[in-house]
Amino acid sequence: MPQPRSHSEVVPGHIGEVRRRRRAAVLGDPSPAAPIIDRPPIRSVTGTVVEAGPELLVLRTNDSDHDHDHQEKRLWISSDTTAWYGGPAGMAAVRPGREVIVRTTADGLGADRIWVDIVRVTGTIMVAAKGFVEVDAGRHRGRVRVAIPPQALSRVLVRHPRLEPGYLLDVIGIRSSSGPLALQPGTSQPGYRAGEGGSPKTTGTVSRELRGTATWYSGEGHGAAYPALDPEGQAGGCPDAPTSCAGLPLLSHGSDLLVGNECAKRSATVTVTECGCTAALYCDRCVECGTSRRGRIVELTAKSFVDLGGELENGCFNATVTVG
Amino acid sequence: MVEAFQSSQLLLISAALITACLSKLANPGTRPRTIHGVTASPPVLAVRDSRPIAVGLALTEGALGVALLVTPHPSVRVVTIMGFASATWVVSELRTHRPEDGCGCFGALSAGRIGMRCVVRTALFTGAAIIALGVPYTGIDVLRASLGWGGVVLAAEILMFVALSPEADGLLGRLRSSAPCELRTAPLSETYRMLRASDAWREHENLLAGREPVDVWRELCWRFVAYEGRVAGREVEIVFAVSMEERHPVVRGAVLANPDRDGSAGATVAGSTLSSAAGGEHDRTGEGCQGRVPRGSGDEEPGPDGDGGEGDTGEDTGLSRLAVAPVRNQTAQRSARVSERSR
Repeated sequence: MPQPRSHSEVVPGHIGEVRRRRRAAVLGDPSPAAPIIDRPPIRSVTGTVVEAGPELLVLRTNDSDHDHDHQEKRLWISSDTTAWYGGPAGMAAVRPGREVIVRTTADGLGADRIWVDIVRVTGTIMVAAKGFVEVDAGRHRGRVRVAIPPQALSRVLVRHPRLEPGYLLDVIGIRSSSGPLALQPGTSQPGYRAGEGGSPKTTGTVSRELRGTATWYSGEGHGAAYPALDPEGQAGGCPDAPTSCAGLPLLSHGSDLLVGNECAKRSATVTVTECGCTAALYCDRCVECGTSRRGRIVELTAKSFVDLGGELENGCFNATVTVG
Repeated sequence: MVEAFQSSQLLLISAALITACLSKLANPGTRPRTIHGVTASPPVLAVRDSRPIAVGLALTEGALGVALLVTPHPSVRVVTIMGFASATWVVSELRTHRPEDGCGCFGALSAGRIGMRCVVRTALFTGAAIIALGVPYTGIDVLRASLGWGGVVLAAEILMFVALSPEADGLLGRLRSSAPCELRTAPLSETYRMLRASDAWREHENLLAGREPVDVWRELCWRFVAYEGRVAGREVEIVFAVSMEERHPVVRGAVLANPDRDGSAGATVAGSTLSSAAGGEHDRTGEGCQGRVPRGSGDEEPGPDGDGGEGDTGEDTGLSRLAVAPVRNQTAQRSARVSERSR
């Protein structure tokens, strides 16, 4: 049986474009799905702080969608600008050298909210010891050692009562020289062990409008990790990936998702750039605005999450994802 | 009448034990005991999830079921009562502590959540085994004489136990519908087999530059296979779409200019021939697949000159003269029928 060649000849960022063109040739262009929510996405900026004055923030951006890979971006800071650094923080936390995600003001010239060195770790607990846990974050993200400072332990334990091997972890924190520091829970820990999240739907009809939870992960640029990628060929799925309890249709790298934030009433098209095999382990709900349906239907990069109106420290939003 | 009722219990529990044995052997319900290297099952479930132990349990059940048919010895009846009583306790405990794991009573068929029905069913089997304790005949003797009241009682009891069995719901569900094409997984070998048996493959086979695809990916109900090709000395791409339907799969093909080597930026060269062959069944949102899409936009009329996609500029690139003539092949006709059914 012939095996498809490696995608090394194709620029990864263009896979979606190439596949859309090929798909259109053989099936015709899919009719654009009408946005359910009309407000456009926000434009956020990610980068490293170069200078942070009382009124001006200068960043060296690393956004792939800019004309140049690295360029300086200047944003005004006002008295309304807020910052997060393990919790509500003053502008003193915005220091040169730190990585930030900035939600801009409506005119795009100022900083509305700044998240400093924020990271998130999700996955299966492999080792739980005093002061740290080691997490299997999935085939693509590897194994991560997360330190839990004593002052944050009780806060984490409130929503993660089982810091034991085999159970799932989802924490938000900050970067440090020794690795990520968990400072707060991302969501509530599911009561079941990894891989026991519930039977996926295997019969009946599948809607192209999926409802459930959207979360974020510490990925760069725009993009989404989708929990149900085909493991065959070059679709990008993992052969041993668990099946999401949300009953998600199978897609590939480069597939477009119309993601709607039901809480912020914003929507945007996001391209699948990673397999969300870790997200498939979670069969939980988001209660950001009402109670979402069970299951994580998409994991967004931090930038895409903010663009859609998500608050990173809250961990999730109730989402609608339209596929096809 | 009372004697017929007692005797029918013997046949009932024998049938239950033999069915459980065969189900466990045919549908092993074992699961990996580790997830990401971490033990996922507590010891009590590890017993159930171990394949050798499951096979041993199944064979024991089968042996007991057969023994009930061939011997009236009280020890067999007592062991049966003890077995069912133990099972009642285990199922009851599992329902309290780990209901999502399924009882495994009938192998993988019993993977659903444990409800009160499971506990009641096992308890009733225990009761039936106790009633059968005093029957002086073998199961085969009862079977020979089971015409009449005994047969009626047995049939009624079997119906009652089927109604109490959650496994019956799952089996009926499987019979009613198979997996929707959007969720259906299939190995690449199946896709290649369907592709090479299709009219679309035969139409384009001679244009392929090699047998090795450059890309294989999946979008909902379709798996796409792209090859490099050559038409009139120019490099092209040949893309096939193979539907993931279990029944009556459809295969479509198209030739498009290679944008890396051709200035026409991926204009469709000959794909419109096969796409237009599909005519009114042009399936933009996968309605041709099982599982109708609630947001149906596939009702749009296709353009008169092909798929009307952006790549289909309608310009004569010169290569299009090499395109195969429009073919309304059997595959396309089947697709149309499937599409109509799904509407």
